[in-house]
Amino acid sequence: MPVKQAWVAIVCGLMACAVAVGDDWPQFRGPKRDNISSETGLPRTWPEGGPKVLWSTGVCQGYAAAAIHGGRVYINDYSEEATEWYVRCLRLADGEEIWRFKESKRIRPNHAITRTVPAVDGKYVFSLDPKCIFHCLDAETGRELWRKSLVKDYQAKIPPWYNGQCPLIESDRVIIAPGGTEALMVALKKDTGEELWRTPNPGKWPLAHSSVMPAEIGGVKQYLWCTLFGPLGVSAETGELLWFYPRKFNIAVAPSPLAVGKDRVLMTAGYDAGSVMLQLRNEAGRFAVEPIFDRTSAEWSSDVHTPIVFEDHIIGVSRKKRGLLTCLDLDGNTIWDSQEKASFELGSYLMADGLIYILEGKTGMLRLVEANTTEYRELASAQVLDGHDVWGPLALSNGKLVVRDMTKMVCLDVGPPASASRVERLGIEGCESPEANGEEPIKANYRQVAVIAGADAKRGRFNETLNGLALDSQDRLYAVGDSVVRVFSPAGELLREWTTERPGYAVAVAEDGTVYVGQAGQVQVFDKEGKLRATWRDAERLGVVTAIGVVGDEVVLADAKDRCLRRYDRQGQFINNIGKDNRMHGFLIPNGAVDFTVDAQGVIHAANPGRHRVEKYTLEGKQVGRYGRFGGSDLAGFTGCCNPTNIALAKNGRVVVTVKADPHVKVFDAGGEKLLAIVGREAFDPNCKNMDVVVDSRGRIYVADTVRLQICVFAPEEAATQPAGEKTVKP
Amino acid sequence: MSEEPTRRDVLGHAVRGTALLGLGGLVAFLIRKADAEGTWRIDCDKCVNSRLGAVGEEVCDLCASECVLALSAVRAVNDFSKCGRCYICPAYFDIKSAINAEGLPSQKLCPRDAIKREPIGWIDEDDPANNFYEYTIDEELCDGCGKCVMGCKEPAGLSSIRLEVRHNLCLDCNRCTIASVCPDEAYERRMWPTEEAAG
Repeated sequence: MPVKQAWVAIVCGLMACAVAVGDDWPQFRGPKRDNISSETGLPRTWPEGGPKVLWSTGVCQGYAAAAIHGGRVYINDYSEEATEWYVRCLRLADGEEIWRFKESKRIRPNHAITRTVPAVDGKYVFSLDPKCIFHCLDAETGRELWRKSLVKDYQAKIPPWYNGQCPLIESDRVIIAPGGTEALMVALKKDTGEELWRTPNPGKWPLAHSSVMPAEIGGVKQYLWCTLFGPLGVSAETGELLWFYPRKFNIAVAPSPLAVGKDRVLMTAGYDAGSVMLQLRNEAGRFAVEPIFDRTSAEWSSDVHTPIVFEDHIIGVSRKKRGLLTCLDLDGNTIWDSQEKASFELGSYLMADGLIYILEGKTGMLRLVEANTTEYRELASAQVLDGHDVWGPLALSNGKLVVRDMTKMVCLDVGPPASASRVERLGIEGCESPEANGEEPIKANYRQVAVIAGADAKRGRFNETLNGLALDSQDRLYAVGDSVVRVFSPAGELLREWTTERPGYAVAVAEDGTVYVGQAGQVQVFDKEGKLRATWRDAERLGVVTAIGVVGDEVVLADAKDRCLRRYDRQGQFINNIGKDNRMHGFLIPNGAVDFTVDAQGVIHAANPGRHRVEKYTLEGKQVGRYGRFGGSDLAGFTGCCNPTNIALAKNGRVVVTVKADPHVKVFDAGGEKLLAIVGREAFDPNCKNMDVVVDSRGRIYVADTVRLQICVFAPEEAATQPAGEKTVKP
Repeated sequence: MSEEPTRRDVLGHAVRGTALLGLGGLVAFLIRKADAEGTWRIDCDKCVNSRLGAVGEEVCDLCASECVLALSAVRAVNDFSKCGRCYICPAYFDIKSAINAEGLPSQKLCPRDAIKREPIGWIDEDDPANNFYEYTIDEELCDGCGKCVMGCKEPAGLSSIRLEVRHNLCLDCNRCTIASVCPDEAYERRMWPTEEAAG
């Protein structure tokens, strides 16, 4: 096939200024396991010759792909000469190897050797090797911390063509499906490997190549998996088998179950298995499962890869005509395919910024296709690999696309041309003065004055999570994380603490001292002493409560699951939604959290990070204004997939927001238009996101470092000279 | 200075010359015969059983059923250099049959049990599912029905099995009954010497 390299670099001015800052790609199918990256600003055309190759490295024959976290690439690999199995850690910037874990292991080239992706959270690397040993490694050094044998510990059998399952990381745990007679699925604590729950396997369903997929169906968080005997769902909370749909699959199940909306699951596989779409109904805790459609492989199926759900459609490569990229509606009808334009065999793909990056499985041609539900529209193509068997999944992080064929891994620059230099300029190493860009000089100066609950603290450290902050009228700081509320004095001393039923995501304190803690599916209400007074449970409206504000006799809650705000009275009676009635049916939050604050007039200022702005609403839900803008070259603008993530207002009206990916704080004037200061460029862990922020009565800014699990305090110059705990400036 | 040829030399040259002439004549005869009549062959890129991209199709068994011979002249052939030697071979097993206690399909695919397998190489007792197997086709049993060819097709298999006409069995009919019904025109008369020379 001739190489199609007709595209000439046409990069518009806006694109040149754009910054491709995005999430990591920490595991198989990305952060949310949906195979969609939240990166933005990606070019829709490529220079002649295709994207620049940043580095390449030889790899053992196979399909094992990259996980990317914190600028590091993690891959499983093998040496046939040394008969050693590896987990390798490479630097994303240049491909240089940082460490490798190795273990002697004899593996045959049975349709190649490597075929899985590690899962990484910055602290741990989890890898399930071909012979079903599950390794937990230190992400920093590669040292093994603990291991499990699926064969010995769970009585599993190594499947034909070895293990193909990729582990799933979820908050404090890692999920795998051993498919042994002793356990169908298990949840293990990340740090120790201790078992949190296990799902029995009375049917002795064997280990499959399918990977565990997170989903919320019928209002119940669950983990989906599929064996040769059919797909199933397991309660994320207890490990109980919630449902199972008996349907035969053949030889091996490589794709994974795909949640479609809130009540459907698509399962497709190769070897003439076809595809089935299931409808699930939660009937008082019991799930009823019915097929909506069941297609033969001649109609539509995907042999290896799990499709993508996009705008109520399903996009994936079918087996027909040697691999047509196909868009289906939710009833399984073909809307478009790539017939007579391209065939992809078993090539892999991912989606980002309205684009599909897809490889031809035989040739190594990379095609850039517009993600839409109306037609196959190709934007660019380039021969990036030699083939053959270009089946390994892709990984995208910070404009760098890591792809592989049978024996070579390549990192491509698919970000905007200016991205590298721009990211460096905005890097955590320093802050460029706005004057350098001809912008107005910064008008305010802040400096870091304290760290609360830091590594040196004797009491009050958070162990797993630190999510929400609030201040009471005495400037006492309330922080929630783990499953605890901690109260600190203005000087940072722990005053008291109490536990919550579930991990807290948000906290607020009313004038009378009542404390509201937002959690998954509920809000707990405590008195000022920490005694539980009420629990508001509402699975529909309180999916995940990531922000709370008290406005007089009312409480406003942010539901990140439904991407909107809920207005309640103080007794827990729902009044109305806020921010739901727009074209996008809510806020755009690829970052997974909604945050807001309320000004002195009772107007809500809610961050809408996907739209790079803050929106103002009345309590009745009417939008009354907005500020903030997208902009990479403008320091006052917001970049990346989703910024700003969190917001607070100072008493003098200043707007204080936090941003992720190069995490820092921006302080604007009272209108939110003029940038006054950039704060904390070197204060936070670079992997921080959704850093909650509050401002006390003296203008001190408290920011939650969500990785180091501490609270950084910054003071304006005039307040920084005052001893902590003394209030001399009262706005 | 050369010596006079002996009688033995003269007789030897004469025999070798005659033999060369005879061989040349035979080659010329065969070429002329082939040019005139060609041979029946199966184009794997046309045959639905082996054509890549033709998925979910019914297996075509006309090569087995339409040949004038009691046992067709068509056979399935496994190209060992392409074979994956898999534990669960989609050409050996009926992969849609129920799974037995060992996790294997409970039925074989070949209706005449013409495919045999033997484990080869290093045998790992702890990992039987990844041992290698050599699959051979018994030509006394195979009738060229094509089921294994369809089962082995990419991407499920490696397309190592294909159908071939056995010319030692083929009667070379001018109006081949298989060719006359082949829906894909894959069973064709090929003037292979001239075509291959051109190719």
